[in-house]
Order: sequence, then structure tokens, then C-alpha cells
Amino acid sequence: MIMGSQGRDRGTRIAGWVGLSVGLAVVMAALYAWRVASAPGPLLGADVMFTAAPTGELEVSPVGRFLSGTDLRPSGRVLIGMLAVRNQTGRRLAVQLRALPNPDDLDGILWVEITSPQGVLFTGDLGTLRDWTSPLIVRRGQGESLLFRAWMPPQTPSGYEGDDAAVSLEFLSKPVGG
Amino acid sequence: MVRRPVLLALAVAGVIAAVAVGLTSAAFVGTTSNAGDSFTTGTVSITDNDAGGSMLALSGAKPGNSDTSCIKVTYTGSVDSTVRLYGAAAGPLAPFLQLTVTRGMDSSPSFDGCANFTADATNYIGSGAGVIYSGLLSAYPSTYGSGIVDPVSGSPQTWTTSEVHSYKFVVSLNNNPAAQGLSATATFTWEARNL
Repeated sequence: MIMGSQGRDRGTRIAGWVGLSVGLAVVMAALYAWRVASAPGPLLGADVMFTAAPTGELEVSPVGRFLSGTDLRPSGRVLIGMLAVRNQTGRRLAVQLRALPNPDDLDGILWVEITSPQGVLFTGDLGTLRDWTSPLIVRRGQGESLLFRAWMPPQTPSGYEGDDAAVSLEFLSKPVGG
Repeated sequence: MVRRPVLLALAVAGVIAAVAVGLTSAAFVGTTSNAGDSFTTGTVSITDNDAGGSMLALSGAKPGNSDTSCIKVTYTGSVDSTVRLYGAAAGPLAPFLQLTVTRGMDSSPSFDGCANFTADATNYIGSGAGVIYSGLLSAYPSTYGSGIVDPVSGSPQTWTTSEVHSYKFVVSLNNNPAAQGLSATATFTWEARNL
């Protein structure tokens, strides 16, 4: 009787441990299966938007956003935008542009080139565009088209991921002779 | 009395449950942050296309002589505003000069030409389409408080960013011998104030 009771207890303990092990394995498998997978692929690129508004002297077209792109990376992709400015004064104007400061910027990362039929007004990084560009001469009542190109050079270091630049342009118009 | 394997099993189950709760809660905890907050004020700004030039000029005028000019006014502020017109006229000739101000649009403005000016269709004050002032230069409002509400006090326009309107100014010399040899100057002002 004693021997039989001891054998039954031992069998029960073994069964208990086996059951516990199986339960533990099931729980771990379930946890592994229910885990939240990490996000696939690399981080986001940068979002870029350039806007312009008319001044007393200049009419711009389009008003507002004229260049934009999302998920910009140092991949050689170039964003392109056109902006037309028209001198609505009765005098010949020398027009300069600059980018107004914005909280989230890509200074030193985003490169910008501004050209017109008169030549290149600006080439450099966004931070440098905080200063006035070379002047564009616009005759009275006449218009000029500006081509904007924005890109990240291939060797751009990290730091742009998920950033955004909403660049508002400011114009400075000075009457000139002729 | 609880037996030792049962206690052990309960303890292990408790550990597993704790780990499971921790892991599952960790798996579904999400946070969000918003960095780089900034605070700026809106702007009220209004400009014109005169580039520093003057609109009107009469030189050696005779009765009936007039001058016409158009000016385009652009609202460059970020806060919605209303606008009033007033000015400063000086000189003894002002009471002999008739002034008409007409509000409208200019499809291709070039200060101070009016070739492409189109008056508003509304007869605001009963003096014709788009006219917002008709009277002597000397009677033109001289303060914001007494200024002409654009375009009319009963229905002020809300100016929003990049909104533009053109104004045609016509000044003419009345037929009055007392005006001989006199002179006057004037400055016209548009003032925007946020709503």
C-alpha cells in the first residue's frame, strides 16, 4: 500500500511538471506570436514646401505653394517648382528673394537653386538662402519666371529623417533706373 | 494543507502571468511626442504698388482739368482685417478740388495706369458703380475713426491674406475764380486693423 501510494505521488508530480512545461511553452509561443512587429524599412524622409505671397510691388503666381515634395532623401531626386513674378509698379525693379526663418528647417541639408532667364539667382543650402539673393531685374508691368530646384546631395548625413521645411519666400523690391 | 508542487506551480504561473502582462502591455503601449513647438503672432500688413511714386498731379491747372490714377492695394497680413481709407490734405486749393475714389479690380496693374481697371459693380454710396467717395478733397476723412470703411460702413469687407483691390482716384479742379494761384498736397492712407 505504501509503495503504491509513493508511486502514484511520483507519477502525479511528473505529470504536473510536464503539464507546467507544456503550459509555459504554450504561453511563450503565444507571446511570441502576439508581439508587435517592428516597423519595416528605413525612417521617413523629409517633407519640403516652398510658398510665396504677393507684395505691393509684385504679383506672384501661383499664390501659396509652388514647390513641394514628401519623403525627400539624399537619392538624387530633385523637386522642381515654377514661380512667376510680375512688376505691378510703374518703375523698373531690382527684386531679391530670401527664405524666412521657420522652426523646423533643413538648413545645411537641403540645397536650393533659383534660376531665371537672366541667369542663376541663387545656389546653396537653405540656410544661405536666409540672405538676399542676387537681384532680378523686372521691367515695369512685365513678368519673369523663376525656376526653383531643391534636393539633398547624395553625401547628406542623417538628421533629415522625418523633418520638414515650410519655406516662405520674402521679396525685396527696389526701383532702379532705366 | 497545500502541497509543495501545487505551490510551486502557482508561483511559476504567477511569474508567467506577470511576464505575460508585462510583455503584452509593453507590446501595446504607445507614446507620441510633439517637439519643436513654436509661438508666433499674426500680422496685419497692407501694401501698395506705388513704389514710392505719387498718384496725382495737377500743374498750372485750369477749371475742369483733371488727373486720374489707379493704385493696387494688397493685404499681406496673416490675420483677417478690415480696412479704412483716410488721408491728409493741406493747402488752400484743397476746397476747390473735386475727388472721386472708385473701388475695383485691375487685371494687369502698372502704377499708376488705369487701362485695365474695372469698377466694382455695386453702387456703394449712390454715386455710381464702385464709387466709395465723391466730394471735395478738403472733406476727405483725415483720421481712421472718421475714415471710409472699405467699401461701405454697412458692409465692411474682411481682408484676408493676399487679397487685393484697386482704387481709381480722379481729381479735378472746380470752376471757381478763387482757386487761382493756389496749391495743395494730399496723402492717401489705407489702414488695416484686425478683426
